[in-house]
Amino acid sequence: MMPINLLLKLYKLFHGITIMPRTPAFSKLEHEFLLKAISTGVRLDQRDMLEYRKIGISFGIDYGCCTVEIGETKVMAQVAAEMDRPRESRPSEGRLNVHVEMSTIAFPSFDPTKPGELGVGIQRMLERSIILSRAVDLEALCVRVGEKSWTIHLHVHVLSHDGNLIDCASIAAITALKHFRYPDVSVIGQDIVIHTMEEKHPIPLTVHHMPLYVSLAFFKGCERLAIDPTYLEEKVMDGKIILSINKHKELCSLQMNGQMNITKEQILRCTEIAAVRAKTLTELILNAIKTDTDDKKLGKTKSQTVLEKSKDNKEILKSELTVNSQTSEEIQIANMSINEDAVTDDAIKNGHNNKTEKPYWLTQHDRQTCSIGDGKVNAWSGDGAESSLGIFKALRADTQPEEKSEDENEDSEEEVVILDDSALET
Amino acid sequence: MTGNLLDGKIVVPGDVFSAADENFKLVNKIKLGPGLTTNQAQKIIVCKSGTLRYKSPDTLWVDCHQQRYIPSKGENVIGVITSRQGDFYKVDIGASDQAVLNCMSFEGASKRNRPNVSNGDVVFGQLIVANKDVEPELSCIDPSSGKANGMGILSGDGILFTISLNLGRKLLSPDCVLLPELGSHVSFEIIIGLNGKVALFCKSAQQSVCIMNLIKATEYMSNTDIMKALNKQFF
Amino acid sequence: MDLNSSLPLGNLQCEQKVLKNTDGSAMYTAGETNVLVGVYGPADCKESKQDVKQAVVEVNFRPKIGIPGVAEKYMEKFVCKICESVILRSFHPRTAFSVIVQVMQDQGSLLSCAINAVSMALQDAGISMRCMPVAVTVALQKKEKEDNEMKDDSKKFVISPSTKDEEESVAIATFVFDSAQYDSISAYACGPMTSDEYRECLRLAKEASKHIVRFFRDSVSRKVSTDIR
Repeated sequence: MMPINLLLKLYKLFHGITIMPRTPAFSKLEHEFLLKAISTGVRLDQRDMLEYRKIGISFGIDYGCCTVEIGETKVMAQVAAEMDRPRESRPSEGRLNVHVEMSTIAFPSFDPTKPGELGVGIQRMLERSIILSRAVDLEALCVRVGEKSWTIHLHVHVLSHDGNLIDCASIAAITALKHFRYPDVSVIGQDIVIHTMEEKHPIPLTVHHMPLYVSLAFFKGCERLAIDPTYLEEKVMDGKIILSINKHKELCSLQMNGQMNITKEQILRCTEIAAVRAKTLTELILNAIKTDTDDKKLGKTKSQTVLEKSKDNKEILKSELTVNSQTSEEIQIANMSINEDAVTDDAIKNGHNNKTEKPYWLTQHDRQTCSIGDGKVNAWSGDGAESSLGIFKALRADTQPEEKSEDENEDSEEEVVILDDSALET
Repeated sequence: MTGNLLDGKIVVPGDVFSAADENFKLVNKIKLGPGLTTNQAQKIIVCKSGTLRYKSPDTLWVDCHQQRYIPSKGENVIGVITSRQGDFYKVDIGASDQAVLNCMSFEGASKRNRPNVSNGDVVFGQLIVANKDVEPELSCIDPSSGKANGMGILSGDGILFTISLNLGRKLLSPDCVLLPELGSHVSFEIIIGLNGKVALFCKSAQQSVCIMNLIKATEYMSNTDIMKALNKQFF
Repeated sequence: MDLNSSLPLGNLQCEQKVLKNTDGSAMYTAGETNVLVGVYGPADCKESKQDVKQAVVEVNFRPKIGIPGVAEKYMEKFVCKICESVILRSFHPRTAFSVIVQVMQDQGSLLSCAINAVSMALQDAGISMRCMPVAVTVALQKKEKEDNEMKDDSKKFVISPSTKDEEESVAIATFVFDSAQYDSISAYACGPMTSDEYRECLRLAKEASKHIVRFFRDSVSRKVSTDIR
């Protein structure tokens, strides 16, 4: 079995790409119009600023095969399992590898031989949110310590690019992992017997939690916020915040791309929006998997067809472009920020935030530092007023075992809320 | 005309008609439009799928749904300027080759009075050279009169979007009711290029976006469906 | 766009204009095998690979799992040759056509499913073709009856075999016909078979292809029927 790198090199030699059709040129007219429209709260597909496009999830006949569409963006994920040696550094765990394939079918300038910045970005982000946050139980994949374990390969194929690839890819990835089943194994003495699907029921993967990415794009000097940007919107945005969050409001990964100057209130608001979004998405995914499992039990073998197709005679009015029970979300988000209009973001610009309750996942150390997750003693000296040696433990509903390290620096004009006065052992 | 028997027939590539058929007994020469070609045996072969159209006395063509533009002489197209090479601008018109536009092909342009054109500008022009062997050439003035006739750089608060080629032709045909009806309710300025690009100028962004979505939705609609949709929108 | 044919071709389904950025696309399903094809063309081509007299055709075959290997490369060459013979390449010199085939689900007869999908995608993109290629796979299953007196081989021809059928068969052949005259464009056969058996497979495939052409015509007319006069 040749190593992957060598195979890739051979493939590249074999297959130099002949053509890459040119990307259509982007005119100044479109650029200016898009920015002007967004500053008045109008998007090209007549969505609200915090509205998602239609999502469709469909499954194939194989376990672990899933296609997700968000509007015109389509991604397919397929999970496969292979029996292999475990990593030497972790002999009692299986492995999970993520492969992202960007082919020309998705966008004219994608080169199938080179994943490119976008492809590598998606791969790294998926690895961070799924593998590093321990979403999948890898220890259960070990068959014989140090010798045999399952290696799970997650193949993500990008089929169509119309913006927001990372959201779509993460939904597809998590759904495929949740849907996947690997063959049952019996260890009899020295022999390991892998049973076929007919002999014994295959086992589903243990997915502890489902971290899903949510992208929020900022426009016009970070005055305007839009969720789920399309390809054209991505071309004119200042930058994006990409968060990986699960339905328990646990943040698994946070990334900011682009030239942005945003305040802490904006970031916190983004996380609130993302949390609501992740919850809805998780429900949608679990429903879809359940429907598919029921169908499979009944023996309904439908080939991979799209669940929701947009009609040819689309309704032109805005009200028709509603997303799966999205409207209740908007109300929720609006209620969360008091004295703030959910659509016009003037309040974000002013940095005015009436929330006095600190989120339970945020630990305040002193006037200038706070963190998320368990950590060590704060070694930074404060401004002298409060003791920097005293660490304040936030009152949390349930303790989070995962370790996340994101440090946020707070401006000093906010009131420090002292939650608990006790020293934390390292 | 017996050719009317063929009009409206749905064809796929590979369908064959004989020129010596009953249908064309009365004509000597048959003009074949896009989507049709001949083979050695003097038979007419369909090479694109779509609806066959006949116009008396002797013209046949296929109306096909296509996305990619193939340049054709005399057509008015909208392009985006991508680069400048000496005396020429390179313009992206959505075809396989980029078109060239002479720097002097604007109304009132001279060596001293150069037009103010930069990369990313949108131009509306006519193809003066377009065949399969050579790069297409664009011009923003009428070659005979030297006048612009509405061509040139498009600027203002407008939106540029892409539609399929046959939708563009449909909108421009005198039979289609969409644009006149729309014009009676809303005031707007629209420029439709035969390469599927449309520039739309309207009072507000909201209106522009609304009209754009309306136009895109009429791809597969017949006239009656269009009237129904418009009535829903405005009444 | 469904066709439940009485022939054992399985359920045929086709969806066109599935992808946004390609010039033409089709998602074709035959039985349980599902293939997505995207087509670009005529598009600009690198100077070094250009042909002055006609267009260049390139096919990219992408399996669901793993890196494309030698088998995929062979299928690419096969599909490429078919496209080159069917597309009217002299209409578009110095350009290139790019066909990308993505396997969505493989439950047997993958090659014929892929070729039919490519056919629909090319037609969807409005690319000039002299005909539409139609492909059918036929598998030959032999059961040797161990009879002391007479060895009677009972043959079974399976049209559009599933994965299980393919595993049990002795030989598999894929035939490609043109949609107009039903002439043979190409064939791919592997496994031992006599010339009589080959002829029988060819005959059966030709019969089956007529159903598929009817399905293509049906799909096209549904897409096109709402044009205004």
